[in-house]
Amino acid sequence: MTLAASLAIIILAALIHASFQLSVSVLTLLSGHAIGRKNSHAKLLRLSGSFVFGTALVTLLLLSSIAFVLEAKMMMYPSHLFYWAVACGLLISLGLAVWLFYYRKDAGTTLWIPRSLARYLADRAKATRQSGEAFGLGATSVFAEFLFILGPLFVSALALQHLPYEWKLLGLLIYGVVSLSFVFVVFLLIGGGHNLSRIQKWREENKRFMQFAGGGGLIVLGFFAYIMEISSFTAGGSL
Amino acid sequence: MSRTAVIKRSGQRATELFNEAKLLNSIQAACLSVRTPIGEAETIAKNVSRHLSLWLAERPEVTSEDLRRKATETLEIYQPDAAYLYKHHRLVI
Repeated sequence: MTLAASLAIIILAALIHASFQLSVSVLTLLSGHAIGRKNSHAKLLRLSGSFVFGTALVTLLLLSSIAFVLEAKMMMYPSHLFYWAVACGLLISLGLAVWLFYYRKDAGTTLWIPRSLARYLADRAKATRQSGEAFGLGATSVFAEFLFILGPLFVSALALQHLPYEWKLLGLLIYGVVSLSFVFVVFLLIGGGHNLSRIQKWREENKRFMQFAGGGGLIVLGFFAYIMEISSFTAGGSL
Repeated sequence: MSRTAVIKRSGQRATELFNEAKLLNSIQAACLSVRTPIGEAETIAKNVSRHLSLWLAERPEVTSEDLRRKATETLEIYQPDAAYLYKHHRLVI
């Protein structure tokens, strides 16, 4: 796999990750409660900044952990074809799952996650007063969506294996920046004094598009990986 | 002060008497969330509370969903953006 193809996979996977909305939902709630409590703007920025830092750190830790485990596994079982077949299956099945289940049929932006977990996150967003709690909430929001972000993380970790050593860290950072772009934008809008209801209305009006784009992106990425890695092998490539 | 009983959501939590301070705080917080100035948020919260007190005066008991729906309808008149957040606060995640 070429350097450009590996980077393209990482960027597309990160864009798909960015279309998943749990962290944005929790950030919106956290900011709404902070503003509603008459907190100063500096405190609002501290809380939402800590939340973003928590999501960024856990996303990067998850990606580097998966990449590390894959590298170790590939040393023991060096069949790249097997790992790419798993990635393709995971991406295509997750793409279909996103189309079918990602948003509930209710109004608003209610997601697939169990209602008890959604209530827990909403209660924690309401109760958060300290930067450390906001950081933990950001980290939790990434773990809560692990089922869906596993696909983009797994395929990016595989693509990282194909990068030269000097590019691996850059690949990791590119994934982090692109996958958190939506959260960064919402953070900047809130910090810039934008109205939360407009942000939430935009999210509600465009949720079906985001769902279609996220699911479609996973399926496209699955087929792209299949053509790049599996069909090239069956057509006479090497392991 | 209204003596109306509020039946909580899903019926699993105990019924409690209508608490005007709780309503005022929640309406004010919704207004502040959409960057309404504090003075205006307080005025809107008082107006919504006055409307709701009149509505509750004829009712011995209401459900918390009815209370929220009526509060949203009234808030919609004064601050539509806040009413949107107030209505959808359980539908964000």
